[in-house]
Amino acid sequence: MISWLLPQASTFASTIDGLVLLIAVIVGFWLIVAEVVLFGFIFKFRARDGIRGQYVSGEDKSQKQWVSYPHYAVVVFDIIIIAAALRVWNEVKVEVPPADEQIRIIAQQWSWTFVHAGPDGKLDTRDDIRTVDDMYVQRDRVYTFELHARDVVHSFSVPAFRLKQDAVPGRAIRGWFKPTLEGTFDIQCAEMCGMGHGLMAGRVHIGSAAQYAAWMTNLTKIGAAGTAMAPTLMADVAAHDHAGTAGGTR
Amino acid sequence: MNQVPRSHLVGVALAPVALACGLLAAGCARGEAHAIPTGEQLYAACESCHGARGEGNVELSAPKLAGLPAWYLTRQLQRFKDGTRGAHPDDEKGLRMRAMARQMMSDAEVEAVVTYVAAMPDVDVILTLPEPDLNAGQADFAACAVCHGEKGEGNESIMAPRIAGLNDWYVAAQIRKYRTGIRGGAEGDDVGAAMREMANKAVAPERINNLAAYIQRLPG
Repeated sequence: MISWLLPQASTFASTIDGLVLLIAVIVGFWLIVAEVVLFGFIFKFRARDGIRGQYVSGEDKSQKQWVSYPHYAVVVFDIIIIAAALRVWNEVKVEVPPADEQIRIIAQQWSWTFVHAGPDGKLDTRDDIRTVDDMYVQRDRVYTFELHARDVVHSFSVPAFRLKQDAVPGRAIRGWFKPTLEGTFDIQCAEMCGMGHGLMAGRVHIGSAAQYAAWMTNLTKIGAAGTAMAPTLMADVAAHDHAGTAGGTR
Repeated sequence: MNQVPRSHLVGVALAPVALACGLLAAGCARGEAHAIPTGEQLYAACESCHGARGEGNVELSAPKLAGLPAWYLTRQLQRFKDGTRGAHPDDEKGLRMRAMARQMMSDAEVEAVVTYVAAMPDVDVILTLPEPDLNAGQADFAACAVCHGEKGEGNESIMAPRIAGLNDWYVAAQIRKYRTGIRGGAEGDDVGAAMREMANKAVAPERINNLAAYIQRLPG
């Protein structure tokens, strides 16, 4: 049902939608019941000429059950929701399938950098391909990602994947996804990260094996390869790219 | 029980309709009045980093803007927007500016904010690089002066901006970025490619700070 509004582009998207729907149905049903009872009583016990209002102490069993039974219902349905949520947690966070490919995601104010493993399928090798704001993946392959933040807390959010993961400076946070639909979908930052937070948009491009190969070939041609620069030079720039440390003093 | 007057019920029913009409009218009015924001209004997005007077903020790695010519500011904003500048994965500060530049939605907005910034009086900036060898910087500047002028005053006809009085830390950082291709390495960036070549030939890595400090002291 939720997929009418937003495509389900990962294997666990429908599972998460199922949980959201379950919670919405349970809470929605009881909301309607509670409101019907509330307004029914308001109508039934409305002011009438010649009838004084009664003080209800709530000590009779027949009165208390209007409170205790809903409490029992809350406990029962909470257990149902928790059981369903644990099942989803297990599928998304615990039972991580073997990775077909790795991808590194680096968040910063206010961009995303993606390090694709390149033809050898391994990160930190010379054929790595880096892109800014555009992530390229292949349909029906399992990707494990390593999420970093350069400056402040961000949140890597791909609504079509039903994936949202905080990125915390100093930590490498791991997760996975398996795209199931071809197309281009939004990436957004879901954690307030400064005045440019709203501008921190990216895109995930999901293609067939042939499309993906063509993208990688093209990206390599235009010089997106990550190791184009010697590590010593990169370190030199990084060391001086922070004004506060430029030259050591101010 | 007292009956609610019919006129009150009608009033209650019409209230949401009236509210919707009001909101619609407000939206339409805003649409009619939607003009390009003034340069000052647009600059509010820049001010928190670059300062109210365009003086820059070394803590945020935001260089001063005051004193820069309009053509250069326009060109840089457009380049940040189209990804020619600030889109390299290693350009941490450039990536930040790239996103902010997108706030200038149209050419007219770029023009408005640039006009505002270009009118700012130049401001002096503090020296940040320690104990530079200004004689060495002056010697290396000879190569820069060919395009940027003897006083660093710039030459628009060859896309060489005014560099006199720029922050020393900023100039040093940009030279390093040019040398490594973080800046000037984008496809189709001919001016950047030329600047890359000069940055690699004109100054040795250990002398960059001297050159940057000398440029900051130029009168323009």
